[in-house]
Amino acid sequence: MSTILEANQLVKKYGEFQAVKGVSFSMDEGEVFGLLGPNGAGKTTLISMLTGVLQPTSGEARIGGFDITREPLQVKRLIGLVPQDLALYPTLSARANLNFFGSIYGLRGASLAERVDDVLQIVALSDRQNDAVEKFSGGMKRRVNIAAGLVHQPRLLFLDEPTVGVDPQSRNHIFESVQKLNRERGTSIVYTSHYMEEVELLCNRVAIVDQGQIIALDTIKNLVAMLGGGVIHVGLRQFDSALLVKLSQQPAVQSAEILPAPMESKPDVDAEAPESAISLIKIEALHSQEALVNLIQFINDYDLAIASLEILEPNLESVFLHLTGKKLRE
Amino acid sequence: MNIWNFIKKDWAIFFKDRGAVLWLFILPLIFIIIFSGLARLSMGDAGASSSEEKDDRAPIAVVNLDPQGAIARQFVQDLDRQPAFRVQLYEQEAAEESLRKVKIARYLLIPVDFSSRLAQGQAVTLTIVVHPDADASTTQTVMRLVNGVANDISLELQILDGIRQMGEMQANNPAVQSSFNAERIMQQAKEQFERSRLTPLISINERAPQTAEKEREPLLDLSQSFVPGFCVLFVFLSASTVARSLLEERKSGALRRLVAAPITRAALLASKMAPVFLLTLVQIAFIFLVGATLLPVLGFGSLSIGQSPLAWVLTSIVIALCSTCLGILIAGLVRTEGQVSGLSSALLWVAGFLGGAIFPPFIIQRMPVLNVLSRLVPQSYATTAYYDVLTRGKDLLDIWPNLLILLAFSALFFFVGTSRFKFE
Repeated sequence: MSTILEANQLVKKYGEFQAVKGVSFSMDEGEVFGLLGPNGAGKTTLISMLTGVLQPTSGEARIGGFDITREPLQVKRLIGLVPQDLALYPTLSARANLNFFGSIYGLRGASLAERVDDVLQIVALSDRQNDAVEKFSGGMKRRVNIAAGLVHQPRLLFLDEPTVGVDPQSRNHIFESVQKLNRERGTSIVYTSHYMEEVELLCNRVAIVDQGQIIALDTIKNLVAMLGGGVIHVGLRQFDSALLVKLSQQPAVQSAEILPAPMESKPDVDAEAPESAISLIKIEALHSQEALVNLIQFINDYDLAIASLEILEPNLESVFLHLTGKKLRE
Repeated sequence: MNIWNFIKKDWAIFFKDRGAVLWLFILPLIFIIIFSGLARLSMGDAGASSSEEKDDRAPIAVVNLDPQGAIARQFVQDLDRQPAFRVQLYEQEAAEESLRKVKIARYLLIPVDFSSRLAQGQAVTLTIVVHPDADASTTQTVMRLVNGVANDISLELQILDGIRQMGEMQANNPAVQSSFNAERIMQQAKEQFERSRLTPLISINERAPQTAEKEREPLLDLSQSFVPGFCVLFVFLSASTVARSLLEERKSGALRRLVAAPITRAALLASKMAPVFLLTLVQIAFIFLVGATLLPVLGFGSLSIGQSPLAWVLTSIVIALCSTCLGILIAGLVRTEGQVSGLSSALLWVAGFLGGAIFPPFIIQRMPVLNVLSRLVPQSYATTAYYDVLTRGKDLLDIWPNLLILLAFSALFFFVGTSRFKFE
């Protein structure tokens, strides 16, 4: 399978602030590639560089064999962008919007009409094509937004958070459209989201992005396997490094570490008092159930107070938490 | 990529927005009518007597320095019989004063010896004294009319003179009676007619008033003043349409989608300018068309596009271009639609005022500080160019410096605007 996109050490700086910090990845033709990360992780900036909206500060990328900075027009003919915003003209009808966006790619006459009919069918809006977009529900607007990125039949489609603010029914419509495009038309798709469920449902491979960097990139199966036998997060009071060593030696516990992220103390407890301080400990288990039993026993043996306890499910959310110590939607 | 697709799309959006249509097309006309009405009231036209109201012919001021002369009286009577004009007799001093105060735009001066010289078959000259800011096309119409009446009188006098000469010859020498038959008389009349045509007894001269230039009040012709002025004001106000459209597209994300399409950024900006540029031309044509048809009906005088339609067309095109480029500059300088509205009201209205779009440029130019400031705004050159073409009968050769300055403004606005505009 040929490579449709190849990015190498892409960097974007705004003054001193580095929004994207040397991102490299590649994707194959026909692949649905997920960019998963919280808001502000740098996903949109990365997509903006790949679609020619922003100039990279350094690094390079090729799409369909064309360099994004030296051959931008050739690149742009191959790609479609569905921005996070509703990039539509609200007073115009759905069909008028699609006609316009098709026409700027050189489509006209019968071929334009045919393409517009086709994409309206894909997003299931043929019956509302002549209504002004401003009269549509949020979900329907999102579907027109997607259709506008498809009308010129791009080889590589960038979908930037396409389900933000969408009702469940429209979200399902969008998922079906994406899957149909990929399965039936072979369109390669870069799908960005901070919804783990969407990426898990749609993508073959996922890059987890945080603070402008890809911190993990693999198939979902392999990413989840990073959690091993499971991960337990436990918040304990009166915990110290000596206890940490003992905890690490418990059966079924592979490793234990104190996470640097501060835990919130209860409001009625003095945060400055050492005896009330809470340590968040991450335990990587060889077997999560057995490790949990041993952990409870350990807590009883040392008369520790539990502030919180969380067993991470084997999913991308847990992977993100495992890798960054943060939740995706924090 | 086809600019026509942008034009179709932006026009479709524009014409669905009733407020924008009202702003671009209706509001200028409302302003023109209101200001013309106020000016007319302040100039006292509304207080015309009932007898004057019955005679709807345009007045033509005449100073007859030969009031006792029969030919002069006949000339005035013939002039007053014309269907388009009616004679208003003035004393010369009163006529000069009225001209200085812009109550009249021109007057016809009949010299003291008009009748006596014509009676002796000697040539005389009528003078039309014209205010420098008077509408050139109306002056020409008046000249043609006076010329026609003068030719008729000149011909009549010359034929009568020829016949009189033959009568005298016959009386002095009865022996030659047979030679003055009908054929000879016809021949004589033809010769006199031809002589009258080639060397008319009455010629017409045009001159400026004797009043010193500094004392002269400018002419305020209602339609000719307010139509181009408010046209320039509202055309430049429509610069905010370009800016608002670009900011809306940036805010909605549509601009991001367009930047990701195979279009260069320069072509994209040009495509955004084209619909507004053409719309502005339509706006200008509409304002002038309605001004030319509606204002005379409302009694505000006729509106012409001057002696050189080419100069009017090119002036309109350059003004529309300058306004559109100003829109790009505004889009490059501001961040929000609120700032566009703020700039529109603060910058464009003030610049319009300074540029003579609300009060004619010659009024602004009399005030030293405003005169200096007015040179900094393109509206000043736009209104001056329009006034020169419309009211002073100037052509392209006369107004090209103003057009060149407007093109320089356009280039400056475009380059600063494009260099500062953020597509993201």
